[in-house]
Amino acid sequence: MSKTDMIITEDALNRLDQHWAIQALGNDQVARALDVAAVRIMRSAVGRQMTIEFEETKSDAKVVERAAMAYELAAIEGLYALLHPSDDESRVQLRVQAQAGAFRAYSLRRTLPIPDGPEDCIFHVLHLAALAYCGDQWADLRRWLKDYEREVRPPSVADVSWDHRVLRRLYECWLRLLRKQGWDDLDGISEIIAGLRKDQEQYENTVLDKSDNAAAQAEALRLIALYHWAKATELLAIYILQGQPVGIEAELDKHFEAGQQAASAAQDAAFEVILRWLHVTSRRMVAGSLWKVAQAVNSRVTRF
Amino acid sequence: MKELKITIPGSVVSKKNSKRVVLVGGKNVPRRPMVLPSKAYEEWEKHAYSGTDIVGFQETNKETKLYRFAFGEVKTSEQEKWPPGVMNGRHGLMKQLEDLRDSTNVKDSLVKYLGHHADRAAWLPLYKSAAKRYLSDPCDVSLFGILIRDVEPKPEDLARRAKDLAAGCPDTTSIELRAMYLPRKTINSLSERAVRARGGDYVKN
Repeated sequence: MSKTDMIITEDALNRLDQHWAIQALGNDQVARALDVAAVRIMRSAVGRQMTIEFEETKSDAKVVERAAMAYELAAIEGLYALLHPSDDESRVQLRVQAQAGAFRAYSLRRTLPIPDGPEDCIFHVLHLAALAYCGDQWADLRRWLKDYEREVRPPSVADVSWDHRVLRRLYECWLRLLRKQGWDDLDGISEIIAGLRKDQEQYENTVLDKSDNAAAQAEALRLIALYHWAKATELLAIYILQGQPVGIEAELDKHFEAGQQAASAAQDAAFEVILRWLHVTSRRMVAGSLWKVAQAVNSRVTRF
Repeated sequence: MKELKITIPGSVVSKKNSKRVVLVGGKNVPRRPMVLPSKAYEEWEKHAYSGTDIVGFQETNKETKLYRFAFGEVKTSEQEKWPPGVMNGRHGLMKQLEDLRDSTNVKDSLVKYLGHHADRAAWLPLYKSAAKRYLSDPCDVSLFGILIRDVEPKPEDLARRAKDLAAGCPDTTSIELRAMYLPRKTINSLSERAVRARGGDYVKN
């Protein structure tokens, strides 16, 4: 098994349940949260064709949220080990913990309502997608995106400020990367990024032209973070389509790390956190891409 | 005065409350100037993380080394009014503390954010101790509201606000309001002095 392969075993999930964050919540709460989430998924799958005898209480929504939070904290603890895999035993354990934690957090969070506001919705979907990729649930995520196609579609960019326009257009790019609806869909990403570069000349100054120096500085830093994210997105889409550049991992690291630093300097913690998750997601996408799989198979094929 | 001790991972965010003066009133009410946060500041507040000025850990038991999360909001005001305008409104100190008291959204984000930075940090044991308590009871936190003034000290700055916050406060949440009174006309030069004290530049996290 390569350092980046992932198999979430029963044993990994059992060990995860001994983690301090899960123990702090208590076994009863965790069991209830998992039951509620499982029934919600079942109900959404069977619709009205079958009646499932299970009654949710008023506090169940909070219980699911708290459990998702606990599992996410366990995943966060091992995120660095997942991003930079190594054979060191303690790092392997942390990586498995991150995968199992993300798997559980995803299965709980996918049953939570999608927030109404455009930005809240964007962050919710990207966060959920990152958990899915880290928890090896990308195929389930595709189904989820299809089920909620209307709710998660990119919000309009008309009459929004430049930074929001960039955010919304990048979200559209990521939806394309996540739903994997063929080559044309992916090909459109480069066009979106090229369109943003063109729009930059027209709109950027409207955001930076502020009388308050501190606000202008924060906005500039936020834009720097967005631009690094845009570049990483473009490179990722090209790699998924063409298998180039070969050293894509280093390029992704460079742009996502610079983006995180800029978001942190802008004191936009929510943005910094989502960039951390998308950084790992992008590396998982590369590791699972056709090109990497072909590379791994090719090294084992001696005759054709 | 009772000692206030919080362990803070990283730097304290200080922000200037920029303001604009608008004229309100008209047909039936006499027109008068009103001080509001500047458009740029409102925009920055909205876009930047709707977070908290101080995030840290508070020791609650010396023997067992038990900690819990401490979240604080800081406002500065030179306004000759008691309480000053920064206490009220959509971005006022009261609203920020009420949000921290009543909603888990902001607190959850802060706890996760710290989790991303906790790896190999000196404060990791403090974080784990506080996070365990937070997961078992999200109300088990310490909240602080700090008002920095350069006008005459008056109890009216905090007295009624403290009563309002106490009503509806969960049993396990503690809220503390503090006012610091600096010499007159010193708030405007506060950020420059802080930068100078740090050696001419902002300290990075």
